[in-house]
Amino acid sequence: MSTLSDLIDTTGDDAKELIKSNLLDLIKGAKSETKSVVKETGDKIEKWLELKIKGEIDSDELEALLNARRRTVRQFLNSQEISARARLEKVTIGLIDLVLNKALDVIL
Amino acid sequence: MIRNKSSLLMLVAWVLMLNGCAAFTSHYDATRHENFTKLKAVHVKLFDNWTAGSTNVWNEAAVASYCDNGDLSFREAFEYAKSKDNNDKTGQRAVTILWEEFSANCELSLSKKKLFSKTFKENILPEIEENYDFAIAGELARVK
Repeated sequence: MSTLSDLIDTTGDDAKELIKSNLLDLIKGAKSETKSVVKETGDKIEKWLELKIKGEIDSDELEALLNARRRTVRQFLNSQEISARARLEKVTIGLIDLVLNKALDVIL
Repeated sequence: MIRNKSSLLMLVAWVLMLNGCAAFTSHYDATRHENFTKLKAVHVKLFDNWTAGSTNVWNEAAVASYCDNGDLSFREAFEYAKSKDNNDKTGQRAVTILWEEFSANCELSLSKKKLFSKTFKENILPEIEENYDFAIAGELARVK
C-alpha cells in the first residue's frame, strides 16, 4: 500500500489528495476482507494502479483490466446464485423424497 | 394425524410455490458446460495470436475476422443457454458476461491497431480465465 501511496505522491498534484485518501481507504478495506474475491479485487486494483503510474500499461489497458475485474465479480455472483438455487432444490426435493419414501408410513 | 397430514400438504404446497416463483434453476447441461470450455479456448487464443512477442504481426483484417468468428460462437452459445434457461436466466447471463469481455478485448485491439503488450496480457489473461472458471463452477453446481 505504501508503494502505491508513494507513487501517487510523485505525481505532485495536490488536487489528487482527496481522491488518493479515498482510494487508499477503499483498497485497504478490500484487502483486509476475509472473502477471497473481495480481497483479490483489492490486491489486483492496487497492482494495476501501480503498473499505470509506472507507465507499464496505458489508460485504455487499465480501464480494460478494471472492467474485466467487474465482469469476473459479476460472474462470481451469478455462480453463487446458481449454487444457492440448486442447494434449495436439493434440500427441498430431498425432503419431499424422504417424506414420500421413508417417513410417510410412520407419519400417517 | 390430521396435523401430520396438513403439515405434509403444507410442505408440498411450499415446494410448488418455490417452483412457481422460479426459486430453482435449470439443471446441469453437458452442452452448456462444453460451450464454456470451447469459448475459453477461443478467447485465450485471441491473446496468443495478437500479443507482442508472438510470431504474429497485427493485421486488422485477420483480427476482425477472428473476432467475427468468435462473436458467432458466443451468439450460438447464448442462444443455446437461453433455450435451456429457467426464469432466473443464470445460464444466458453467464454467457453474456463472457461475451461482453471478448467483445471489449476485440474492440481494444481494433481501436489501438497494434498487438497487446506482454504486461497487459499477463494481467488480463488470469482475469479472463477466472471468469470462465466461475462460469464452469456455476454450471457444475447445478442439480445433476
